[in-house]
Amino acid sequence: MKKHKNGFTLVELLVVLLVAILILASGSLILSTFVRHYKDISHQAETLTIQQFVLLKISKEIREADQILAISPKAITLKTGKSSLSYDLKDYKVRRIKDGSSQYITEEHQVDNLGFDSPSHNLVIIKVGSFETGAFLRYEK
Amino acid sequence: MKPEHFLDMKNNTLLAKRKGFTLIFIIFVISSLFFLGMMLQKIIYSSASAFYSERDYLRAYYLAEGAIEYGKAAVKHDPNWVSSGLKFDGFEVTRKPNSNEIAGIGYTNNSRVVLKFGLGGP
Repeated sequence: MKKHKNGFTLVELLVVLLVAILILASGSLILSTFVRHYKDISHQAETLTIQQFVLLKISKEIREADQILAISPKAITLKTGKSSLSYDLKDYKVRRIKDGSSQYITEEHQVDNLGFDSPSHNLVIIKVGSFETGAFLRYEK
Repeated sequence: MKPEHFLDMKNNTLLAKRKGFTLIFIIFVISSLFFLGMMLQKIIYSSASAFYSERDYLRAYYLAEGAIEYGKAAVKHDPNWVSSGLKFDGFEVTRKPNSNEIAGIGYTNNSRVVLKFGLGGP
């Protein structure tokens, strides 16, 4: 009886399949890890830019304010000219209230904490996310 | 005389010469994947460390700016205010006697930023 030598045995096919699965699995693992880290860093960079924007905006408005009407660890109210201006964190978003009308200047969770402190009467320490700076009222009345 | 790469279907000469090629190919592919993985890991590590350095620098910069603001507020309240390194959580403010300069130092884990502000002439 003639024995057929063409084709592959079951063991050969299984080995090839196993090696192919190993190669594909490791390749996809490497790629998915890379993509995940890239997305994570991009998201953190975007959050950082927004936090910087909020910090600069609040500190600028504190510097230009005439008076601090109220300050608490989570909110501040300023008087600039005839207007009143407040900042606080509501529904995980930074809220800016000017003369009673409010607007949100961030999306949810872009700023995880907003804090204020006043170690002296014309100085405010502002904490926005991972940033912290100080601003003093130049035109205090 | 037959060339070495002659495909002798009857005796399967070329296939006989190629025995072990699959193993070498697999080793090559696995090594390539390993080096690719190492390269990607290095890229991830470099970009992450650059990002965290930049973040720390920015944090230190804003803390130093806060220190300068503290000094300005103190000088506005008392023009003769001096400080030999008043320390707070993350920043330090200095104004030497008879100096028209305020120095603010902000520091985080890996960064330290020094800003100087001139108060103007007498």
